Amino acid sequence: MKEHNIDAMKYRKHSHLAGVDVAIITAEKGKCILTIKDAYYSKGVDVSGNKTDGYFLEFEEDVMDMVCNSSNRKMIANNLVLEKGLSLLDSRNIGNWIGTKVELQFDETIRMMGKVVGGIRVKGFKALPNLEPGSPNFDAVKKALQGGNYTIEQVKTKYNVSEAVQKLLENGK
Amino acid sequence: MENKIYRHRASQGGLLLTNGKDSLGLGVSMITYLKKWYAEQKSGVRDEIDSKYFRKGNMCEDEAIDICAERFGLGILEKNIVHFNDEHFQGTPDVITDEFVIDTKCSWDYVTFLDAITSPINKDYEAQLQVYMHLTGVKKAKLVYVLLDTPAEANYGNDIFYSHMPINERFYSFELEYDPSMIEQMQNKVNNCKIFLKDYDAKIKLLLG
Repeated sequence: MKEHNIDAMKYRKHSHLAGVDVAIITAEKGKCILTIKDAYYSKGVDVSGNKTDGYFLEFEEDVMDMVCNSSNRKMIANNLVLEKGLSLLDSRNIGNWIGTKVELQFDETIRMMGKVVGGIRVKGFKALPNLEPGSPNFDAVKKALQGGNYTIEQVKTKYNVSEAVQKLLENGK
Repeated sequence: MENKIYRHRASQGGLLLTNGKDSLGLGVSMITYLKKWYAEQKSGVRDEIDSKYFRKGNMCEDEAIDICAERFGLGILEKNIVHFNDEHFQGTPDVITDEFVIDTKCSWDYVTFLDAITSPINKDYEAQLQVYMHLTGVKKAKLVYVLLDTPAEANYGNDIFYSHMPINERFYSFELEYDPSMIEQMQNKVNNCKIFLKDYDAKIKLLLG
């Protein structure tokens, strides 16, 4: 099968998921959201020709394993605290990461050994406040929507809006 | 230099509250600031301030404003982008509502957050907000301290997380009211700054032509 108009780096020789792969997936699918199938520590793993000791993530999707650096490990743990209410201790147990979805982003500013090389960054989970009917925030948001200053999509970037609350906002009842 | 009008920046308002021993009562810090301002205007070269604290403040500003909106029950707040000025001052408040102006300060860490909220209100920030109130005509202000996660980009690649703590433990607001006497004091000082700059300009011209 021939593939045309694809990223020149898509089929390069490599052993683990890299920033460029995340950029390619993001370009193809809009977002790079992967589900952790396994999280483990291993020694002497061949990472693009270098024997590496480190933490690794395996995904349910058809992508290579990823080396999980300390920044991304901290981010996954913090996301679990915010998203699933895990304690700080439990969130750091990599066994609890299995089944978790992570959104990966290509960050071209990441440095290694003093050089800007780019890399993978796990996106942080943003805990939004709930928009409760009858609250001052609800009334203010409703007014802003009615005034045409904002769209419901913009509101959803700042608040958790349930379907029922959205109907109340949009119907004005 | 004659046509460069000196308008004191709100963010440097605290400099106007000190009383120096020089004839104009400006003080060493104010004079250093004015000399720097003069050199920047004359050369067109401006030093860009950069630090991890400054970067965090810039990167977290939008999130801080969203949190203010929610905590104050205002729903959604828009960052103000209008630059205000008059004969004496200039500045761009973070947020302006019908009732008050808001300035957000993103603390670097929990230590600095707790220190800020347990100390008397920072005089520099108080002066800054007084100037904002004066420029906008709004008579109340809120100085908000909020502790947010430190993005890796602001801290040499290392994220620092605080978002696991409840927001009420990371958010505090000082309330201020417009103080005409403080504004008058600062206006007088700005007038003295203008006198200093005129004399300084004459001195430079005498030396360099």
